[in-house]
Amino acid sequence: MSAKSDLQIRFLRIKNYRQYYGEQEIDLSKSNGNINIIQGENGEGKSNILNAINYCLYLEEPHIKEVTPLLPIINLRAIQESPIGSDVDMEIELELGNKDNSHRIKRTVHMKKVELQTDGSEKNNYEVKRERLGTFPVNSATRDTFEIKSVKRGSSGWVINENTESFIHEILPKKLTSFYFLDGEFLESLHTNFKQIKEGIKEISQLSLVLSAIEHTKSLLKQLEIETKGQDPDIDRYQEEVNRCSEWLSSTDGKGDIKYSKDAIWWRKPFDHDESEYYPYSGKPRLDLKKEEEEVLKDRIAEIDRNLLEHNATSIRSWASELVRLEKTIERDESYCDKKSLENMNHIAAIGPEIYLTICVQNFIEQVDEKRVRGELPVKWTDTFVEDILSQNRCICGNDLTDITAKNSLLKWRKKSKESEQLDVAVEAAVNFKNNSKKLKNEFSKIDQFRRDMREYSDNLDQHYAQSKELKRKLKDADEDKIKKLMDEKETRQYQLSYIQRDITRLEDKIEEYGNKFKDAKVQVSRAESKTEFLKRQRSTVSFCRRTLEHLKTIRDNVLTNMRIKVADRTRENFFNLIWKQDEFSNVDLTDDYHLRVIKNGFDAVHTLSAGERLVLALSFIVAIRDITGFRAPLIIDTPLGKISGKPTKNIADFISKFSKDVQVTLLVTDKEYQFMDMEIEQSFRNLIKEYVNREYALNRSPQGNTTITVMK
Amino acid sequence: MVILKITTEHRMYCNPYRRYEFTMTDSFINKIVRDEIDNIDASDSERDLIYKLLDFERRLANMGKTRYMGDYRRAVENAAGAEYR
Repeated sequence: MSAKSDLQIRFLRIKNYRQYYGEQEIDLSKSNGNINIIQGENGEGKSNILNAINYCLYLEEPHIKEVTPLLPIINLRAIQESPIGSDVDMEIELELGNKDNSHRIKRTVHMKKVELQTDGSEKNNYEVKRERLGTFPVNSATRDTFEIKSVKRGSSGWVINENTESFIHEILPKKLTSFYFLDGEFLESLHTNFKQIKEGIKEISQLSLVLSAIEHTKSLLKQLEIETKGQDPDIDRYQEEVNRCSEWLSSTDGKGDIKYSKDAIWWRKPFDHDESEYYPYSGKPRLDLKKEEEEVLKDRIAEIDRNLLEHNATSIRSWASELVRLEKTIERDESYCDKKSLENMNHIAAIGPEIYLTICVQNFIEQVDEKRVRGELPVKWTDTFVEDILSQNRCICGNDLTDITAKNSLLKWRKKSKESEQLDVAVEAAVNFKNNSKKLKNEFSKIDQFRRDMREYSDNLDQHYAQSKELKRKLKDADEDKIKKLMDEKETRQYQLSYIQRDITRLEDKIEEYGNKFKDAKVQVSRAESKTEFLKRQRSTVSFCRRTLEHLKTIRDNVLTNMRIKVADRTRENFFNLIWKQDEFSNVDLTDDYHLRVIKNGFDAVHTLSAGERLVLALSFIVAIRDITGFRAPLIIDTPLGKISGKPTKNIADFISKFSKDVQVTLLVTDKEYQFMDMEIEQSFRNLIKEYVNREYALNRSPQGNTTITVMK
Repeated sequence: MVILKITTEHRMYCNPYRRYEFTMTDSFINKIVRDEIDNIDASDSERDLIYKLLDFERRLANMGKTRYMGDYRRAVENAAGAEYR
C-alpha cells in the first residue's frame, strides 16, 4: 500500500463541468493545516465537486442529486457561446501525490456543435455531438481523452502513463470510494448497511483478491482433474483412498461429538452453555484436543490430592496419603496386567494353531498307526506306472485291460494309492508334530504360569480396590463439607479421565490404521503414476494446485476473522473516544454477520441512535478500517455535520482535527454548518477547527446558475 | 431546446489482451493478508505462487476482466513444475 500512503489531492482544475463555467481551480496543497473547506449552499455545486473528482478518476458521477435539475455535462453557457461548427470541451484535472510520486490525471470530453437539420421551427437549431474517430461499430472511440502523467521524486520530467485505467485503480481503487469520498447519506445509513460494511472490509483488507484467487484456483483445479481423471483407473481409486485417509487424519471440521465446555468439564454437564462446542470430526486434531483435556483432568486430580494431603486433620491426611499410594499401586498393577495380557495374547496367537489342532492330529496318528499294524493300508503305486500299463492295455499279470471291469479295478487301486500318499504326508507331519510336542508342553506351562500370576495380581488388585473404596468412604464420611465435595469431584474427574483415556486409545489405534492405509495408498498411487512420466507430472500439478487452494482458504478464513475482530476493537475504541454520552453505552461490536451493534442497557440500540451518534459510529468504523489496513487516501466528506448541533459538534471537530494530522481531509460544508454559532457550545464549527484549516473556498452561484469558486482565506 | 446526444461509451485505452509478466513483489498486498500468507504452513514455492496469484487478481480486478485462465494455469504449472523437479 506504499503507493497509497499519505496520498494528497494537490489541486483540482475544472473547465466547463456542469455548473462550473470556464476554468476554475481549487488549490488544496498543504501549507498550514491539513483540512480544506469548500463552502456552499445547497444546489451551488458541492456534490458536483465530488462528482467531478469521481468522473475524472472513474468516469462516474455517483453523487448526482435527483432533486436538482440535470445539467448537461458540458456547461450550458459554454455550449451556447460556442459558434456552430466549433469544438466544445470539458476538462477535469487532478493532481495527486505523496512524498515520492506525483500524478496528474486529466479527463476531457470533446464535443462538436453542429447545425440541426430541421424545418426551422426549433428555437435552438443545433446539437452537440461527441466526435468519433471512425465509423461505428468498427471503431466507435470518441475523441474524449484520459491521460495520466507521473513524476517520481528526483526525476525531472513528467512521463505519460500507458495503462491509465489499471493505474488509477492501483492508487485509488474504485470499489473503495465509499471510504474516502463520503457523503452524508452514506454516513447516515452505514450502520444498517451490512453488505456495505462486509464489502468494505473485504475490499480494504484485499480479501476480495483472495476470494477471486480461490474461485480461479478452484476452476483451474477442476479443469486439471478432468484432464487427469480416467487416464488410469488405479490412480483414481488409490488417490481417492489417499484423500479420504488424509481428510480423516487431519480433519478440523468441528462436527464431531459435543464437547464438554471448559467450565462444565468439572461438573459433567456438557450442555450447560447456549453455544455448544464440538470436537474436530476425526484424526490428529481430535486426538490433540483429547490429550489436552486428559492433562487438564490429571492436573485437577493432582490438585485435589494436594488439598487433601495438606488438610489440618491428621486422620484426613493419613487416609488421603494412603489412598494416593494405593491408587498409584493400582495404576502400576493395572498397567502391568495390561502389558502382560497383551504379551500372553500375542503368545497364544503364535502357538494357537498347534494347540487347537493337538487332539485332532493325535487322533489321526493313532488311526493311521492302527491301520499300518493291521496291514490295511494300500500298496503304494505311482501314477507313471499305471499310465504305462493303461497305454499298453495289458497288465503285468497278463490281464487284458480292454475289458472294462479289469480297467475299472486298476483305476480303483490307483485312487487308493493316492490316498495312501496323502496318508504318508500326514504321517510325516505327525512325526514332526511329535518332535514339537515337547516344546509345546513348555509353551503350555508358560500360559499356566501367566494365569497363576494374573490370578495373584487380580487378587491383589481386588484387595487394593476394596481398601481404596474403604478409604474413599472414610474421607467422604468425614464431618466436613469441603472434603466431601473434593471427594465427589475427584470421583467425577477419575470417571471422566477413564472415559477420555479410552477414547484416546481408540483414536490412536484408528489413527495408526488410517496412517497405514494412507501410506499404502500413496505407495500404490506412486507406483501407478510412475507408469508414465506425463501422468506423474500432471498429478503433481493437481496436487500442488489442491494444496495452494487449501492455503488460500486458510488465509481467507484467518483474514476474515482477524479483520472483523480488529475492526470491532478499533471501532469501539474510536466510538468511546468520540461519543459524548459515554456512560449510556456499554459496548460496540461487529457480529459474525457484520452487524454493527451499539449496546445500551443490555440491548442493541443501533436503530435508535441520534443523527450525531450515527455519524460518530460511521466515522469510528471508517477510521478503524483505514487505520488497520494502513489505507491513507485523502478523505472528502460532503456535509459532515448535517443535523448535528451542540456538544457533538465539538467532539466531531476534535476527532476530525486529530484525524487530519495523518490524512488530508476536505470538507464540503454549508454556510450554516460551518459558520453558525452554536448556542450550546458558544462557538462555530469553523472556530473549533481553525488551527487545522489549510485553505477555505466559497462557491458562489450567479443569477444564470453558474458557479464560481473563490478563496475565503 | 438544446438537444444533447451524449453517449456513455468509452473505449479502454489499454490492450486487454496483453500478457502479464508476473513480478515477485509483495508491496501491493497489505499487511493483514501478507501476515497470513507468511504464517501459513506452506512451502516457499506455494507461498510464491499465492503472491503471484494475488498480484494477478489485483490486475484483473483493476482491469475489470476475468478471462486470463491461460496465464493463471501457466503460473500454477510453472510453480508445480519447479517443485516437481
